[in-house]
Amino acid sequence: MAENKGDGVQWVQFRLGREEYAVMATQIQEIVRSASITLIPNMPEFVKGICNLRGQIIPLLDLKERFSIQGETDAQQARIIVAHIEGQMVGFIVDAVVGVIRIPPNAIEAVPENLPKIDVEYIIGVAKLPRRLILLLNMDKILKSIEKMILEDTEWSKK
Amino acid sequence: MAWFSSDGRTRPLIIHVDDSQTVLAVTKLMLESLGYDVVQATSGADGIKLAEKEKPALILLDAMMPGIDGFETCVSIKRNPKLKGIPVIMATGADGVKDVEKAMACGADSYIVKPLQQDRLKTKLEGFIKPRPSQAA
Amino acid sequence: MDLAKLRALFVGECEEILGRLEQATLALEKSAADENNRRDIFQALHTLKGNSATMGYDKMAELAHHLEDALDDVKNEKKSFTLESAQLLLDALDIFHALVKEFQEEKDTINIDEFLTNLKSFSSKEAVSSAAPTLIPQTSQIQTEAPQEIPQAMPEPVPLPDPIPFSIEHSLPQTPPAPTAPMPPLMETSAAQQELDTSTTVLAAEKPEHQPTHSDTLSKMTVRVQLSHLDAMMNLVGELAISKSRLIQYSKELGASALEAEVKFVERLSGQLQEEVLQTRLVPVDDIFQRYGRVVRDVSHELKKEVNFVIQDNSISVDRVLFEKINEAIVHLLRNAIDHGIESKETRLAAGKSPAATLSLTARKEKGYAVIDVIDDGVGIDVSKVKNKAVSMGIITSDAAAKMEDQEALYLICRPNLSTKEKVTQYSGRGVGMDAVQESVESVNGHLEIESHIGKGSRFSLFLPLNLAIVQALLFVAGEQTFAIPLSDVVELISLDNVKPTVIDKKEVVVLRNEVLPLVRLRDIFRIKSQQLVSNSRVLDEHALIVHSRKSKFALAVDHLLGRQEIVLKNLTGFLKQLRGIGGASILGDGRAILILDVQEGYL
Repeated sequence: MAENKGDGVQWVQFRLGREEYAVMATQIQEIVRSASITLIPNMPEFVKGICNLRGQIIPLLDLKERFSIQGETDAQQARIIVAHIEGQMVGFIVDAVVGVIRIPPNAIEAVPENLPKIDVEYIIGVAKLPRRLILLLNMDKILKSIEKMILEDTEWSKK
Repeated sequence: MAWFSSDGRTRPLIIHVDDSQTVLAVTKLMLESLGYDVVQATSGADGIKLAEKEKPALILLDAMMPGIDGFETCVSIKRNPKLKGIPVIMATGADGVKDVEKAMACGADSYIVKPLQQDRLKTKLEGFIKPRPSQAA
Repeated sequence: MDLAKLRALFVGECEEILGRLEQATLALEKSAADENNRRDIFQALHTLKGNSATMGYDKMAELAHHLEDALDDVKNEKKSFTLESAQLLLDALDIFHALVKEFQEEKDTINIDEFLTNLKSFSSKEAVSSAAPTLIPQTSQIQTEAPQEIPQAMPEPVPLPDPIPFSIEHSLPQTPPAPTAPMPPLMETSAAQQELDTSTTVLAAEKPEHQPTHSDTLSKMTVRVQLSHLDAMMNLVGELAISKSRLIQYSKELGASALEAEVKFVERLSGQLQEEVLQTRLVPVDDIFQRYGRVVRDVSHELKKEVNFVIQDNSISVDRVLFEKINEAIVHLLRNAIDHGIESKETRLAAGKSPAATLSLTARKEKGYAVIDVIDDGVGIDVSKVKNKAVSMGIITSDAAAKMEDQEALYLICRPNLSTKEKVTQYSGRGVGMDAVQESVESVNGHLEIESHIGKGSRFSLFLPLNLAIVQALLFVAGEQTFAIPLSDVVELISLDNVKPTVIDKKEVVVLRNEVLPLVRLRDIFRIKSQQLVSNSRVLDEHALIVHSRKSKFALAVDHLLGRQEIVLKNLTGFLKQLRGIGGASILGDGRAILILDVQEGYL
C-alpha cells in the first residue's frame, strides 16, 4: 500500500522528549488519545500493560522508557499509536503526535554518528527536512528486540 | 416514461440454473449489465419451481449438473403446460458435439457454449428477447 | 458483488470441489466399481473446468480439461479405475491446490507443462474429435492444446495390487470395528470399557448408515460466510453477555420490577443469540476427518506400512476456528502413529499381530470437552527408552527419571528435541512435533493426554473445550489489581482469619481439614512492586481461594472478592502469550481489561 509516487512514502510523525521520530504510516492502525491500562506482572518497565481497544487486547509499550529518553510527558498531548507489526497489534505511548507527512526518498540519509539513545539498528534513516530532523524508526526490529528481552527472562516465560 | 411489460417488469426476466456459485455470480453480473433481470437456482427442480412462480421471459440452463441434469430439466420444462412456451437455452460444454445434439433432442430452443461470455450471450439472447434499450445498465 | 468477493467465492468453491474430488478418488480407489464415485469425480472436474474458464483462469481450466481427456476412457468405463489413475488424480489435486493458492495471491509462477506432458503419456488417445469449429470457444487455449498423437496400442491396465494396503472405513460400523484388535485395546479398566461399549451401541441404534460423499447429499443448504464475520459476531455476543450481566445487576439495585422483567427477557434472548452464533461456528467433525484419509494413505504408502484407517465420529461438532488451530496437531499425530508407532507387516506378523495395523481417529464428548483420539495398535511408547533419552539430553536428571512414574514419563515426549527414533524421516522430523502438538491444544485452552502400553499401542487424546469463549469466572482483587479465575478451577473459599497460615520449611501453608496446602500470594508471585501499592500490609489478604488444577492444589490469597461473572475469554497474542500463570484476558463491563489466571501449570 505504500505509494511511492515520487512524492515519497507517508510517515506518522511523533515526539519523544525533545526529538522527533516517525514510523511508516502503512504500519499504523490508528491513534488513540488515552486508554485504561491494566498492569501485567513481571514485565520490564517499558511494558506498561494491556488495554482494551474496541474489544481487542493489545499491549502498551512506552518507547521513552525503552530507550531511556528523558523528559516529562504532558498528559494532554500524549497519545497511543496503535501499530500492526508482523501480525501483532501493539500500542506505543508517545509524547505527542505531530502528524502525517510524506518524505521524499531523496530526503532520507544514513544515520550520522552522534545520535541519542536509540541504537542504530532500530533506525532506518534520518529525514532531513527544512528546520527539522526526523529519525525514522524500524518498528519490526524494535518489537523483535522487546520480545527477545521478555522471552529471555525465563523464570516467567512459559517455555 | 417507463415502459412496463405485461407482467409488470421493466426489464425482461431470465431464470438461470447452474450448480456452480462462481458461474452464478459471474453470469448474473453479465446478464444484468446487458439489461436483464435475473433470478437464479442451483438445481433443475428449483429452477422449474421458480419458473412456474416467476413466469420468466427465458430460461438459461446448465447442461451438466449433479442430480437431475440440465437435459432432463429441459424435457420437464417442455412437457410442463405452464412453461412450454418459454424459450430454453442450454449452456453446454466446449467439446461436446453430443451435448449439443442431446440439447436439441431434449427440446431446447438453442444452446450456448461455456464458459459464458457477455458478447455471445448478448447476441444469443437478443435472438429471443430484447432488453429495454433504456434499461441496460 | 465486487471483484474481491467474486474471487473469494471462486476460491471457496474450488476448495470445496477439490475436497469432493479427493473423497471420490479415495473412495473409488477402494471400490473401483462404484458408479457414484466415478460420476462425482468427473462432475467435479467438469465444474472445476467451467468455473476456472469463467473466471478467465486459463491455466487451471486447461489442466482440468486435459485431465478429463486423459481419464476419458475411465469415464466411459472402457478402462477400469486403477491405482495409476488414482495417483494421477491425486497428483493433479496437489497442482490444483497450488493453482488456487496462486490465484489468491495473484501470482503466476506455476508451470503445468511438465504435468501436461505426463498426462498425454498417461493415456494414448486419439486426438479430440474435431467437432464443428464453431463449438469451440475462440479465446480458450483448450483448442490449441488438443493432443495430436497417433493412437498406439493401449497399454495393459495395471492390476490392482492385492491386498489394498490402505482403506478407510467410515463410522458407524454395525459390527465392532477392526476384528483383530478390539477397540481400543488400551482401556484396561472395566468401567471405561463399559462406557465405550454403550456409546458404540447407542450410536449404531441412532444413526442410519452413513454413506461416503454422494452427489445428492452435497446439495445441503449452506451459505458461505467469511470467518472474520463469525469472529466479529462472537466478539459482539461476548460484549452483549457482559452488558447483560451489568443490566441485571443494575435492575436489581433499582428494584423496578417492570425493568427486571424486561431485562430477564433480554437475558433469554441474548442467551439464545449466543447459542446460535456458537452454532454457526460449529462444523461437524465428520466432514473434517475425511480430509485425513489422504494423509494416512500417502504416508502409509511411502513408509510401506499397512494401515487400516478407521474414522469414528459421534456427531461431534467443533468450533471451526478452534479446529483450524489443532488441524496440524492431528496430522502430526497421525503421521507419528504411522511412522513411529506402527510396525512393518513383517514385524507385526512375527509378533502375532494382524499384518495391517489399525489406526483410529475418533471424536467423542466428555464432560464439557470434545475429545479427539488418535489410537494405534502399534508398538506403544517405550518409557525406559524415553527416560534414558531425556536424561542423556539433560532434560531431567537420572534421579528424577528413576522416581518418575511411567504415566508421567510418557509426557516427556512433549519436551522439545526429544526423539528416540534414530533416523529423521521425512514425516516426523525428530519428533519435535509433539511439543508443538501440546502447545497448540493448550493454546485453545485444552490439553493432551497420552496412554500407551508396550506392544499393544498408544492413544493420544486431544481435549478441546466445547464452549470456547465464554466462561464463568470469579473476580477478585489482589495487590490492588483485579483478576479473574475460571470458576471451574476454584473448589472452595476460606477466610484467612479462620484458617491462619503457618510456615513449614520456610514456605507459607494453610492446613485445611488435615490437608497441607501451599499458600500463594499473587503479590509475591507477580512481583507487583510495592511502590504500586497503597499499602504493603499483608493484612489485606483476607481470603484464600482453594484452587484445584490438574497438577496441584493450593490456596491463593486474595484481598477481596468481587463476585461471579460471566466473562469473554480473549487469548493473548504475541509476546504476551509467554506469561506463565496468565491464561488470557477479558474485558469488564466498564471497558477495563483484566487478566485471567491460568493455574494449570501450578505456581510453585
